[in-house]
Amino acid sequence: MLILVFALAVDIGSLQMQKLRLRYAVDLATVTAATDVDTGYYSRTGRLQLEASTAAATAREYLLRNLRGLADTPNPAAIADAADITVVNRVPALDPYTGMRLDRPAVCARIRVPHRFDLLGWIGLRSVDLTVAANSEIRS
Amino acid sequence: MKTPGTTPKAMLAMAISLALLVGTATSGQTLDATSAVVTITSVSGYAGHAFVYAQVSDSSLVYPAPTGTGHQSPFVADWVPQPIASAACPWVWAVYVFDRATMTQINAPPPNAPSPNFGTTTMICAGPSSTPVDQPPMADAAARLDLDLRLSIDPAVSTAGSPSVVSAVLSSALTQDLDLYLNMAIEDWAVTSWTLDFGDGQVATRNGSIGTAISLTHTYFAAGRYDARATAEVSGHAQAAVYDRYGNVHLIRQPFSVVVSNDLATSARTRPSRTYLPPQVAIGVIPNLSSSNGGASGVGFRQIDALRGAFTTLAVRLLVLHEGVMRIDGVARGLGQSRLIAWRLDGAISDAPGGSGTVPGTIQAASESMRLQWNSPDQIVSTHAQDYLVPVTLYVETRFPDGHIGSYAIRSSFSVSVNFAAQSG
Repeated sequence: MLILVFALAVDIGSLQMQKLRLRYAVDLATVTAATDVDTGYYSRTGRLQLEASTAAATAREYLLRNLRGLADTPNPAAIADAADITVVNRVPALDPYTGMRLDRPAVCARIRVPHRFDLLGWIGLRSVDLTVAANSEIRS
Repeated sequence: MKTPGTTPKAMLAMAISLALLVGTATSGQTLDATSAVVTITSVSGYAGHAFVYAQVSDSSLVYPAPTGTGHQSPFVADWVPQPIASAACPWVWAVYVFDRATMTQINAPPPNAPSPNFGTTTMICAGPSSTPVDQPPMADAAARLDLDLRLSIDPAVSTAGSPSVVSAVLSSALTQDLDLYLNMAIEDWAVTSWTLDFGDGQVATRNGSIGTAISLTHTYFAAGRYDARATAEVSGHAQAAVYDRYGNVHLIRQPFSVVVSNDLATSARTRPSRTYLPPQVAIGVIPNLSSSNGGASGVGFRQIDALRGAFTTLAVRLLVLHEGVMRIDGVARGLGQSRLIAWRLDGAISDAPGGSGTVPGTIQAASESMRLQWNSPDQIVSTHAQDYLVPVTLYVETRFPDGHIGSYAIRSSFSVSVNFAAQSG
């Protein structure tokens, strides 16, 4: 029993750490992408919005870079390719992945990453899918 | 056909006639041209019309020319009317000219002369009723010069302080008698002096050969009604030509002068008050995140977003909210057309690095871009973000419909909402 509690503590801790790392990875990727301002639209309207295709590509690129830095993340390229990325320019709107209200143009991203337990596998709980979402918006 | 001296009776009658005519010619030769009297009547007029009437009279004239040996002509002629039944010329004068010494005809036709042959080579087609030669001399001849002076002022109702054009034109009509014995003509007349009295105390005089028209610009400086008057002094000569019975001309030339004048009422009204209301304008900017404005086109914005810490280039545009208004006597009569000449950034220096930003207080050309940067986001006041306010002075030139150009320095501003580049949610 003590061993089970120990295994649970270790794996849950590991899971939380991984989730936190993934959150950072997605968050920083969206923050980077949120600087891709549509300069033509800005000059035409005086308003800031994001260049949708560029911002999405930037988010995916930096997501891949960030995931590669995480040791326990298998196949970062596949995860980055499979990531859901949405650029929202029409605001107010809701983040399609978190349901969070958006007041400014934003980049929204969601990834699904399988997490393998080390100790809980002994009792048949080998892995879970971690879903991490984040958004970044131009905001005053 | 008649020929002289065909019968003794005719010869006798001719001899008697010649004897009488010799006596008349003798007195005629003593004709003194001064026996003709020339009278000139110059009637000046001050209502636009004047005239000169010249007449020459000579009751001593006789006709026909004397015959006989006492005068200068070595020839004598006999004029005989001859019908020829032609539509163009029903009858002619057949003139038989003789050498006075021998009474031999000197203009006999050759033997093979064509028909009609009236025994002379001198034939003159006369009018159907009479010829001048056949008429007695007129006792007098006259000439008349009519002068009309017209005055015009443009505009008829002027504006005090604005120039008017005062014009005077002298027109004339001349009739004169020119007959065989007495001629009366008016010649070489001209305006020697023009005087324009504008009616406001100012008088302009022009002397010399100016012509029959004058046009001067004059300004009435006070509103009112004026009686402008133009006066032309005309001088010339009337010349009579008196022909004696031998065809000698005696000229009698006399000067004349006449004054013709006319007036015209005009008025000047008070100059309408003109006021020019400046346009209502504001600055508009077109932002660009590069160092140049990229040939920005279109209207500018009064409120823009800006990225915190981003060097922003702003093309300056003039937003005309309401054009300048030209008012005449308080009534709007037209709108101006405004354009931006220059601008000046007021307020504090921006966060642009290393002197790359626009320096406040410096007047920039309209085509120059404003370069600014904000390193701090909008200030939060009572939970609300407060935009930056960028004060600018606009130098505007407005051209009004009457050509007046107004220059204005107008304070304006635009607001900037400074955003973080990104914020994670």
